[in-house]
Amino acid sequence: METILEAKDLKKIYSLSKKQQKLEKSGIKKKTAVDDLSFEAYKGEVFALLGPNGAGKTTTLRIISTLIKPTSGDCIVDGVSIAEQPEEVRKKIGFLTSELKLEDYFTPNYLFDFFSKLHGVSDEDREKRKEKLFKTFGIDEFAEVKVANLSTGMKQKTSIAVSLAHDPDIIIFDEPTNGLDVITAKVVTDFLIQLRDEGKTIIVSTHIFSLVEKIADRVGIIINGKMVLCDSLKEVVKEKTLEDVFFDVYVKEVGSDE
Amino acid sequence: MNNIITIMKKELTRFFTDKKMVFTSIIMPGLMIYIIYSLMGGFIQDMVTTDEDYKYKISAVNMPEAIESMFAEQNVELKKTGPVDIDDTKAEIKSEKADVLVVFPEDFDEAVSEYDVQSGEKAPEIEIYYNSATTNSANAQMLITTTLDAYENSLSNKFDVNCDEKHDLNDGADFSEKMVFAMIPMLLMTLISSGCVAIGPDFIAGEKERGTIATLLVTPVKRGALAVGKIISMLIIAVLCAISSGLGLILSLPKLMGDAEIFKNTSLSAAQYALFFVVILSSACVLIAFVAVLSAQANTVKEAGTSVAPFNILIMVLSVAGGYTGGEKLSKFVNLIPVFNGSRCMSDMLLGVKDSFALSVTIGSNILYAIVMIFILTKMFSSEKIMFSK
Ligand SMILES: Nc1ncnc2c1ncn2[C@@H]1O[C@H](COP(=O)(O)OP(=O)(O)O)[C@@H](O)[C@H]1O
Ligand SMILES: [Mg+2]
Repeated sequence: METILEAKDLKKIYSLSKKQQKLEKSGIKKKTAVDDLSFEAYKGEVFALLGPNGAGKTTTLRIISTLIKPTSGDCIVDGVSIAEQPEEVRKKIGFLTSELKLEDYFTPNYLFDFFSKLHGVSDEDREKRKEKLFKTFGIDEFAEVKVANLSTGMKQKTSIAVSLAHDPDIIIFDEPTNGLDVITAKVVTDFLIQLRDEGKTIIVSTHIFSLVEKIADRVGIIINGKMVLCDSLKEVVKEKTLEDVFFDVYVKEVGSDE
Repeated sequence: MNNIITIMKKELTRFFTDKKMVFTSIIMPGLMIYIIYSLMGGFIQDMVTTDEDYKYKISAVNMPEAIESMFAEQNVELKKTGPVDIDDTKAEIKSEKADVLVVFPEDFDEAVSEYDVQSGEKAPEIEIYYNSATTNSANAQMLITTTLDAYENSLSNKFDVNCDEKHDLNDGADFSEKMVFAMIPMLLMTLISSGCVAIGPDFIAGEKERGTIATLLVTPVKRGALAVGKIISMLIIAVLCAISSGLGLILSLPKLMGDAEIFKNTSLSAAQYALFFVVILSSACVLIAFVAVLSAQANTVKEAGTSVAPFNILIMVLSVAGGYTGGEKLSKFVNLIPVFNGSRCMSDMLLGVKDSFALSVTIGSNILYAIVMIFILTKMFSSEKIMFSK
């Protein structure tokens, strides 16, 4: 199996602002969100980061998408280091999250063209991609409607289409089904499986067991910023359900903390 | 480079296809200025217009009978004084109690008739003292000059009339003139800055607030390209806003000023207009880059608006100060102060003062400041603390 993404000892320590310090109550000034995290993703698989809220999933995915810098450690994405060539990394990946919003004022059509240009996609490829993605997500009939007037689900689907305009080989998706209605959620998960079948590598984060069971080839369980278990889904669920395995390691990890 | 253009295209499309936005930030300022100034102009005109029956108070020393008779039918109150009263009369003119003093040489008639134009010697000279700060004095001075001109022509140029700036008893600055020349740069500056303030907060803080900036940041676009693309788009809009305001100003000035003398004296050449524009542009660059930095540091449009607001007053003060010190000698270093320098240069140009060193310092330093701020903005776009603060 060919490794396409390799996170090596990623660490992220946030220095908390005054406001955040108050929220934390304990008065600590620094917060270790990701703690020497390492994992690999293989070409053509769905890798799922599973963990509770605050485990450090979003932070990890933002680091490998070069949106934020790790305090230490590195990640090699298709042979390129996030620390050394962040722009090159951004060309290779598509980063998706419900937090990435599209400007209300524009239409899906305009935005698709705009982001294609920023990614350096040729006009010809762009039209082909657009046709395919808009069809997959049923954006066709809304292509000329301003984002402001789209339903939440349609907005999210547009956001996905636009973020994949450059046909990246690696897709990083933070909480893919968060905030989606069941129908849109199904469209999205089916689409992820379809992308995997096309040979793309997909890295998702989630706190939902059923999603992992449905789409993941391998799973990494992350708790308090640490990778506590990382294996193929088949191995993980050999004897127990995913949920049971998760709570076993959770109790072990959090219990040993206290 | 391509990315800068793509980003600019998007920003400008966003702006110019929004009719409401275009109206409030570009058409409105010009329109408002035009309307306000036209109204104000009518008001001022009423105050300034001299009443028809006013008699110009002219004091004359050694005035020959022939000339005296020429004023007989004019609206003139002629007072004959002796050479000893000259200083007193000058003081009266300064304090606006008298309008004009005309001093003829003794035996003027004789001197003129003896004078031979071919001889190359100095012709007999007439001195006219006036005060350009008052309309009456300026008008009286014109009346006398034209009357004497007519007389001179009939005598085939046998005397000279001395009535240059040295005879202007208005000490130092002509207040009304300075007012206008200080006001124009100040208005332009404040208009540009209000344009910047109107669009700045939404341009970056707005994108942060709505979460759309992160979508841009995950593309391979360089942070610098993003900063430059944003700033140039903002600049274009701010300059259009300034142009609209400027047009409003220029179109309303005739109404504001009537046909005041000063504008007849001020005519800028094409090159000066171009320089004028470069000064405005360089100042706009500084302002917009500054507002962009403030906008990027804020998390919401409201926050950005609050952090920009105090600077409005500072910008106003700097531009007024710059406008008023135009034409005055100050240390060369004052032209390093942004806004102040642009305002001062414009005022200089309007007053006809040519100071290419000050101009270069102004334009150069402004461009430098803008570049530094673009650099800061680039850093801010790469800073996760600023872009992803929770
Ligand atoms: N910008 C930030 N500043 C300070 N602390 C942060 C920041 N982002 C996340 N954190 C903290 O880091 C931890 C991990 O957060 P996150 O990566 O969002 O977890 P997850 O996505 O797994 O819920 C949390 O305790 C969170 O409060
Ligand atoms: Mg998260």
